[in-house]
Formats: sequence, C-alpha cells, structure tokens
Amino acid sequence: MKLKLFLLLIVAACSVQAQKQPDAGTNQTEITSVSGYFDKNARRLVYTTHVFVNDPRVKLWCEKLTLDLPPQGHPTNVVAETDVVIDFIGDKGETNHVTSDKAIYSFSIENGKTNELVTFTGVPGKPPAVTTEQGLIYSEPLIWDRTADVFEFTNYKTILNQSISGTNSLLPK
Amino acid sequence: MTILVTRHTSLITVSVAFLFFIIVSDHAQQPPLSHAQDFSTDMYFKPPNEQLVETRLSGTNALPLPGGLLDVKKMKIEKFSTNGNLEITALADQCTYDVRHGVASSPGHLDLTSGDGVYRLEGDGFMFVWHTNATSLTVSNHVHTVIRNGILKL
Repeated sequence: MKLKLFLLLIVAACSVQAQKQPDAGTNQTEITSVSGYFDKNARRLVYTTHVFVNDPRVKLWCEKLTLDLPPQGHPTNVVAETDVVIDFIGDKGETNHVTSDKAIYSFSIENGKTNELVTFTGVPGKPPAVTTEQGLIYSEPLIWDRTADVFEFTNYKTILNQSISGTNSLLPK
Repeated sequence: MTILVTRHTSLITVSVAFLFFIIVSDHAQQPPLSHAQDFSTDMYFKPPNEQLVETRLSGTNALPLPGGLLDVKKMKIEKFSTNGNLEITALADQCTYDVRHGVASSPGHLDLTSGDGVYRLEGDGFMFVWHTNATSLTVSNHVHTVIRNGILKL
C-alpha cells in the first residue's frame, strides 16, 4: 500500500500539467545565439554559444542547439547540448525546471500516431534533474513523453519538499 | 552595364560581361573599376535537374575588386526547389562575392526568410558558401531566429 502511494505521489509530482493550446498568434519560437550555421544539404541549423530558446511553453538555455529541418513541417530532431536548462511553463503558471548535459527532442508520426519524446542525459556524477514545486528528482536518463505528458525515470533519486506545517506537500488532500 | 551569368557550377559562363571575363581569366591583372548593375549569377541542380536554377545570387550593383572579387550592393540570394518554389530568400545591403570560390561574405546584417514564411533568421556578419556539393551559411554574431509555428509540435 505504501509503495503504491509512493508511486502515485511520484507520478503526481512529475506529471506535466496539461497545457492549453496557445493562441495561433503567439505560437512562435524565438532562438537567439551568438552565432549560427546552416547546412543546406543536411537541412540542419546549428546555433552556438549562449543559445536561448523562447517558446510559449518552453524556455531553454544551452551552448549548442541543432535542428534538423524536414522539407516541410516541424523539426524532426532537436538536440541541445552543454549546460542545458529547460523551464516548462504549465497552464497554471507553475514551472518544471530541468537541468542536464544534453537533451534530445524527437518528433515522428508513425501509423497516424504522433510520437514526441525529450530524452535528457547527464555526465558521470551529474545526472539530469527535474525540479517541480513538489520536489527534485534525479534520473539517468530522464525521459519526457510529451505525447502522454509524463516523465519516465530510471535509477531515480527523489528529494521531496516539506511544507511549513511539516506535512508533505505531495500528500493528497 | 548588365552582367548576367547564365550557369554557375564549377565553371561560370559569362554571357554579357567582358568585365567578368577579365576577373576570372586573368588574376594578375588589376580589373577595371567599372560599375556594373543588375548583377545575377545562378547555380543549377545536379542532373537530371541541371536545367533548373537551384540558387541565384543577385545585386543591384557590382563593383569589381582585386583578386576576382565583386563588391555587390543590395545582395539577394534565392534558393529554389526543383518544382520552382522559392525556399529561402536572404537579403543584405552589401556582400563581397568571391567569384572563383563561390563565397559571398559580409560583416553586415543578413535577413533570411524561408519561402513559406515559417522561418526568419537574421544576424550580423555572414559567409554564404555555395558549391554544388555543399552549400552553407554561417552567421557570426547576434543570431536571432523566429519560427512562426513553434519549434515543437504542440
């Protein structure tokens, strides 16, 4: 019973809040960096040095960002490298803060089903970590299934926040 | 004077400009400092689409410089698909075009837009390399990109 409750709490703590579709006018991404490189044959955009991505739902900082661009449609593969920091903004304004050495976003449609995964990896001694309002979780790797809106953990370590009254903020009310 | 380069692969054919011929064929000679207008040079697709223009570099004015270079004003680079659709347009007030090596560069501002308007990229200082086998664009500073539909599929 305790194990089930614990797992439930973990899932509750780590599930990303369902997010509303933003207005079409605001659904654009801005990327700034010191320098950039575009390879036409590879259809690849590479941003380097102090890269910042400003998306309606995601703020991302890293030192190198690589986008693979299909002839049409959204980028199929996005790789952020070195000192990766990502803030996911939920519909209630809450922030999920992720740090890692590398983050790989992949997008595909197979048999009519959309697959969207973000895989975070770290370096030895410094695994990826996600910080929510409920606590901090380390996992190597850390996978965010955007389609299902859940995090998947492997060999994870959890540090839960305590409320002022001493009750665990993750406990159901 | 109007310069129109009809084909740009490994060899550049010059249809009108005697000036251009001087630049390419005789590097030792100092090119005449004539002012050229409506400069345009094309790069074509590989076979079987070798009749189709893949990339066009043009400018309102082109001033020959020593070493086979051209000082191109109001530079415009257009990249087309094999069905003729415009994929990319890049604009800059000025660039130096290395005719022999197919390199256009400038310390100035570059504004690039995809044909469908989804991507817009701007920055300061650029080098555009266009070869048949490898075409690339490097922007050195202050790179700013706007992706209209978002980077993520939401």
